[in-house]
Amino acid sequence: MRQLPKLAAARPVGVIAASLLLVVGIFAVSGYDVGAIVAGTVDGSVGSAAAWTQTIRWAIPLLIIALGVGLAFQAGYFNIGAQGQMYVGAIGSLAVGLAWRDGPALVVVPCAFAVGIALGALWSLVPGLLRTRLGADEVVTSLMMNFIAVLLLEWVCTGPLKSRDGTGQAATTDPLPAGFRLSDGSGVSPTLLVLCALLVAGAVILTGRTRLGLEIRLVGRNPVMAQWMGIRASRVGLVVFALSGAAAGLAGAVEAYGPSGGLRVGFSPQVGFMAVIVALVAAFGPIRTLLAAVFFGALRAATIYLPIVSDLPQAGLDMLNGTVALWITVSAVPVLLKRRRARAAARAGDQSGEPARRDREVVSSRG
Amino acid sequence: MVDFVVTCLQAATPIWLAALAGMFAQRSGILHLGLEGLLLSGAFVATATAIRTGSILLAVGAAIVVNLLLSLLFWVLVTHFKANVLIVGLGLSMSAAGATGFALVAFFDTEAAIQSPIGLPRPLAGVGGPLAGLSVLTFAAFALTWVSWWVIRRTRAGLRLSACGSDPFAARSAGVPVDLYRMASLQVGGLLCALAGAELSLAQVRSFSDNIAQGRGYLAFAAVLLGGLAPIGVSVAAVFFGSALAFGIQSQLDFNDVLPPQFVLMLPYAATIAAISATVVVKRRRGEQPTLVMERTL
Repeated sequence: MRQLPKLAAARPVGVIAASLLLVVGIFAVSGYDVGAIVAGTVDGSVGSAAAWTQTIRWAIPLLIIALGVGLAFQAGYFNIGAQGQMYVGAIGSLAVGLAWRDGPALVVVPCAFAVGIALGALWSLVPGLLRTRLGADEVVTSLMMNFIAVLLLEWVCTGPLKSRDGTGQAATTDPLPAGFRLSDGSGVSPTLLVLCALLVAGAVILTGRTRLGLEIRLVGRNPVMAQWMGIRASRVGLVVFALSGAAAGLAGAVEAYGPSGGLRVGFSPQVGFMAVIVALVAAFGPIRTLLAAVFFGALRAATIYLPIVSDLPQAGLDMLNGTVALWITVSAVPVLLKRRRARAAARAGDQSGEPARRDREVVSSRG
Repeated sequence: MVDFVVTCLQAATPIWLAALAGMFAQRSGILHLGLEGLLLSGAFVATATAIRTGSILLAVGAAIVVNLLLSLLFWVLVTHFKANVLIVGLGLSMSAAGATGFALVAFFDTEAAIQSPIGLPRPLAGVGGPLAGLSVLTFAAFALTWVSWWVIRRTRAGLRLSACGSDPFAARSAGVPVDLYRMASLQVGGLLCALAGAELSLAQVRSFSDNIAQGRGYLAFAAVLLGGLAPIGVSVAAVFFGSALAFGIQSQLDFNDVLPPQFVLMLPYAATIAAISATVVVKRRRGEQPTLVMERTL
């Protein structure tokens, strides 16, 4: 059945509106001043130049990660390990910067970013290889890799890279030299905006204009047909795992060299998971991903701003994010589901010995 | 040594009960990432009710009621609205984390911890000895493990439940009401998570603080996979995870310089990845096709 594009766009908007109404209703029942909360949300996200800065600051990591994750989803791989990939990317890039403090920024920063991106990709290739070579479920393994990375970050911040002069409770690393930073504490700078624009443009070209983009879509739609057309699906799988991990690693490096200038235990919690929601809301289109990232970035900015102007606890808007997650896939997932079914059907055909031997080996190596 | 075993059991009980919940859900074909949220909601409702009413029975009862409703919501979204089971589960966990933090401020006007005047009964407290510190739910966990084993291995309903997970289409063809079995197992899971939450907040610390579960729900989820969906295996895995948790805290105190506690705490997750990969390899050797979680659940 042909789906009307308007309807497809209306669904995520409807889900978000319904979640907003529900959560605001809960605030009203709990006796909070709804008018003040709504006004505070608008003020904190789009009401002033400072608010817009905050919104963009949070939209940047969401956008970078969601662009990568969207590629993996498009190929039918449910990589949900972005949070961990972001953490190892941040750790790797920070370690380079701290170890080579005296080096020229024009050499050190690109090296650090390369290391961060590579580590993110490697972290993602663990579930990727287990999935494409063995057939182990990437959903579970990538989730487990997240928890390992969280602990790794905790160890790095309390052990090897711990700040000597830190006095507070929260463990942090040493700050990077100011010359290495890509932005100040606000997290928005021309460099970062240009980087984001390049990434969106790259994603548009990759998905719409290149052979790889076509292969990703074909593999996602029907892996068996893709095999018959001569596409090596397991290689495409590895590529999307590496790309999504690289994007998350880049987001980690941006965090370390941009707004934070250092790292602390459990920084940017839930960004990896929010990026998954962004990618699902946007249905993987790069421009739509940009819009969705700005929306959720605005929400995040409002979450941080609200406790200042109202007595509403920050947890109140965290609830909103969770509620959106609860409903959002009601509309977004049939796409993924269809792909999974296609793959299940593909395997059924594989078992009956339908394809020629050479193809069968390739198909089963994909799991 | 006995003391350390008791500490491990205390640390393991919430994970253990939640893992049994996850096992039932997964046997029926639903991957339950909402365990963390149900743990949090159970812990909060139990503590809040204990403070307001002073009755431990009402506290546990209220936690069970709330968790049954949340599990019902989970079921409706997954089966009737065809939502992605993993995202809904994570969303449930996120919402519960936000909602309990919000309710802490809305009802008790604090962002720190709320103290409960009462705790769970300790059956052996009168007898004394090393086991005196264990709450009634630790003993219940042993009993519930045996009950789960009996239901799954020895009853018709248990067999059908497993069929819903391993081959829902065949189960449907054989006349098994798959969706109803899934609801039943999710409801049992809600109940078990309410007990787990009560154990978490009312057994030792007798208080609820923001995000008290700290990932124990995800550990339980991992224990289900590591234990291979078998009641005994899942319980052993959960106790192993609980011990790793206790040992991680212990090692922080004892030999922080030799072995950072974070590496001990990584063990459960690494073990789960290894176990999943090994299972798949073994299945391949036997000539079976490994099923992916997503296909099994949708």
